[in-house]
Amino acid sequence: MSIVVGNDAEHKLLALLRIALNCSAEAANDKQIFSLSAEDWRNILDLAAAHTVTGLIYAAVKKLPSDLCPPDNISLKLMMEAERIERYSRKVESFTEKLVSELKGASLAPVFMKGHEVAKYYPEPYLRVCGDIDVYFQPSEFQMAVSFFKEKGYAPQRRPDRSFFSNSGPGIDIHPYYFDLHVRLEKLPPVPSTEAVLLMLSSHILKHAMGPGVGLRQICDMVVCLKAFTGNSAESNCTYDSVQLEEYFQAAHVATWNKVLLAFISRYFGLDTAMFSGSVNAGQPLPKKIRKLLSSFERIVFSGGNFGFYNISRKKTATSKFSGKRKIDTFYRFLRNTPFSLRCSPREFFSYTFSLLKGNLD
Amino acid sequence: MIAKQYRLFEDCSLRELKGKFLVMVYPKDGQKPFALEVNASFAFLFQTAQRLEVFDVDALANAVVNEYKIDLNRAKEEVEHTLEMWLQYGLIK
Repeated sequence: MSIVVGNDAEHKLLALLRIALNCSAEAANDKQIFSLSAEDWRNILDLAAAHTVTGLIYAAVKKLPSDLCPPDNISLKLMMEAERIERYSRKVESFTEKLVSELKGASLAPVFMKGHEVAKYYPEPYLRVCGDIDVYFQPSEFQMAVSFFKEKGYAPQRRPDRSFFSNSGPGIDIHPYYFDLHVRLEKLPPVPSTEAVLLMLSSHILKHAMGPGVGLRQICDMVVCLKAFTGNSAESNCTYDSVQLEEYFQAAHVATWNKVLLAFISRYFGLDTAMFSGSVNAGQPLPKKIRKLLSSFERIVFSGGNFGFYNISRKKTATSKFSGKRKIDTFYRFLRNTPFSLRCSPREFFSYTFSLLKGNLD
Repeated sequence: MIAKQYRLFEDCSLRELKGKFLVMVYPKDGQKPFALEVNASFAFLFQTAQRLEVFDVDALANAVVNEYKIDLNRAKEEVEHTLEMWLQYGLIK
């Protein structure tokens, strides 16, 4: 497997993630890879924090032999962070169970999306860092669902993209659309389905890559789902129709993008993506277009971290007194990534840009 | 120390990594959570106490005798010493 990332910490971070997700061709006791100094470990953990994958690093370290583990003071900090992550994950799980019970009591049928849906496919689900709860309702139920959240005191606020957000608990993102795509629904897979999950995750990563940025956590989500849905994982026996899935990606105009994503996953997580829809066959050289897009995508992932927050310009927006600074930073990132976005999916780029502009002006 | 029955403080957890043990305590009285690095025998007692809804010196001492094959009197001394420490740290009440 060739690695083209920039620095040693990135190499080692990826090696540890491969171990955590059971993708690894390397042995956990490979001293050439895992003989690391204290400073190496600090750099890796800083990078893991930027990509919000620290819990996975803890999972990987558990598999290393004792002589390759981090020094004691670093191990203890890692344990404390893993404890914090797991504890929060369990808290979110309890909150979600209560929410589901309330929603079902109101005859509503929530469909959970993104991290909350895919966490169960991880070898250790509670070590996946939780963000907001993303929940989708069918069009026929959406307004009822929003009313439900209002009546129950969740105080959902409307957002430019027509979703609603509530600050309750870990944060609840209430979506009227399952897919981050501007395509007629009848061309897309039924929800819920394994094809829908894969298309949803892929398009979600694309949207963030087009704009603020995206990190390894979302890519790990895609990795665990691909493993689970091809029967390569003990966590699931789901399967999907690869021919039908490729048709869905084509219909959604994101087939080129998906090839880029699968090339990234093949290169850095070692999955044989030849079996997946639309991917370039393993062992064959990448087409020039995909190679160039892959290089751009690598820059986006490794320079930005989790949703681009690792990037210095993004960090500054968090402390700025000017509330529009974040929007300006997001706009700048859209501009910067335009060549990449246009080549991945011009239709989605224009549609997405238009809908965001419209939403902000409404 | 007067032998009496104890309960673990409401919210504690034990985590182990390659022979390192960490107890995390989450006080519900508004104090900040804290962590204690502990040794293997402390961890064994802690795990035993967690399994017992209410525990005392005798219950824990018997567990120590079975695990470490030492005599009961010595086990009781070790347990009493540990419980004193737990009281000081606020792990038990």
